[in-house]
Amino acid sequence: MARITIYILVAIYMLHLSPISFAKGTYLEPEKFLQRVFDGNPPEPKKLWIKKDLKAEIKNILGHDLKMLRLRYWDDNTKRAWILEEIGRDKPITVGLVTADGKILDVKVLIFRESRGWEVKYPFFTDQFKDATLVTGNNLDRKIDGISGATLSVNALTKLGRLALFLHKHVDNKK
Amino acid sequence: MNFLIIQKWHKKLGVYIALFVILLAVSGIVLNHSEELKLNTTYVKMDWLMDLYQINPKSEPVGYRSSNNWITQVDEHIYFNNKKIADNANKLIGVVNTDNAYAIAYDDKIILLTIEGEILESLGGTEGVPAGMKAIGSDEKNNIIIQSAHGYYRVNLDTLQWDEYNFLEANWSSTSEITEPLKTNILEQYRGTGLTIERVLLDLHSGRIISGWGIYLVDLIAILFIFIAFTGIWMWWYNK
Repeated sequence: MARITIYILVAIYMLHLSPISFAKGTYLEPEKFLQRVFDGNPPEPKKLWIKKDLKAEIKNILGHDLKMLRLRYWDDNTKRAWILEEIGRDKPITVGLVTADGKILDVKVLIFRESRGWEVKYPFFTDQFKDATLVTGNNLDRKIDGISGATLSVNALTKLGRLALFLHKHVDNKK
Repeated sequence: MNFLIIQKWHKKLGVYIALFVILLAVSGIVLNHSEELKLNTTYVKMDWLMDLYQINPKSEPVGYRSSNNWITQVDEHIYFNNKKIADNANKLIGVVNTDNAYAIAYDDKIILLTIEGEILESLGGTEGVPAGMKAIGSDEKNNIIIQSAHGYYRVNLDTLQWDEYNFLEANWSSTSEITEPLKTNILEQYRGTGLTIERVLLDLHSGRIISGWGIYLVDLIAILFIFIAFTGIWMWWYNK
């Protein structure tokens, strides 16, 4: 048994030497995201008050209260940009989402603050949201495939996709 | 001979990994139902586990007082009195009480709070908050004044109008020594909301609970699972 223990410890030590790279940080400044979305000329931000009914629906989507009474969004009458945050594992992921006609046009991970789960920044993942719409229960019309080891980040982005579409619908209904 | 050697290792390793099979299976099942079981919103209260995760502030609380309310930073958390209002803060810059709201500046953000301490909104660079904020204060007309790396701004945070100046006088927000009862209260909160059961289970499942080595231990255990499965099949096939 002692020999097996030594083999196991040696194997763990060898594995520990392998290189690891983490990729947390700012991938795209929120200001630059807006510049890109609106071709260098972002509109003035608009205010969206989170009233009681809206708050309850948002809680259903996020699983917790949105801790603010109003949000800003950017709307040029053809599309809307949202910069939203949701905690993945411990820290918030800042995500830029573009919506139009009840669909998601684009999703970009702007700031990732954790050391794991950053794979959600890649287009192979975010492209799954393109053209997604809302169905019953404010769920997406499709299943977003997960990434092994990034479950909490995947969940966070999926929630934000649902939230952006829900807020888009709410703004449409107010008009 | 081969059979006996493989059988011997199969048995020995089987004993080693049986506990891990149970641990990974149980933690995996529980994590699959994390939201229903509210594991992501239930906090660990065990002191030894919080100590293991080093759930203790690394620095002394820094407080700013405004109209008998306190804005305090403990590590990367910011509190309004004893209510946490922000995470991931590097440097609390100050607070100003204006028009039935508090404007709290930290890093490159401004949080607007109602008098009751509810977050009205969080403003950043996309809403015009200048980079390199150094100080926040108010002038004699109770306008918010920001000193940044590149100049001074008189701000209307409702309309998001940022008027830039070379210099502005202001009553700048400055730190005060926080009261002992508040300090104790905040530090209790800091530990009490620092660690969810979900995080502990995830770390237990992935091996990260024992720092950098843990995931490699779990990798190795997984390889041993494969070994046990193959040797089991092989022995069955051999005896057939």
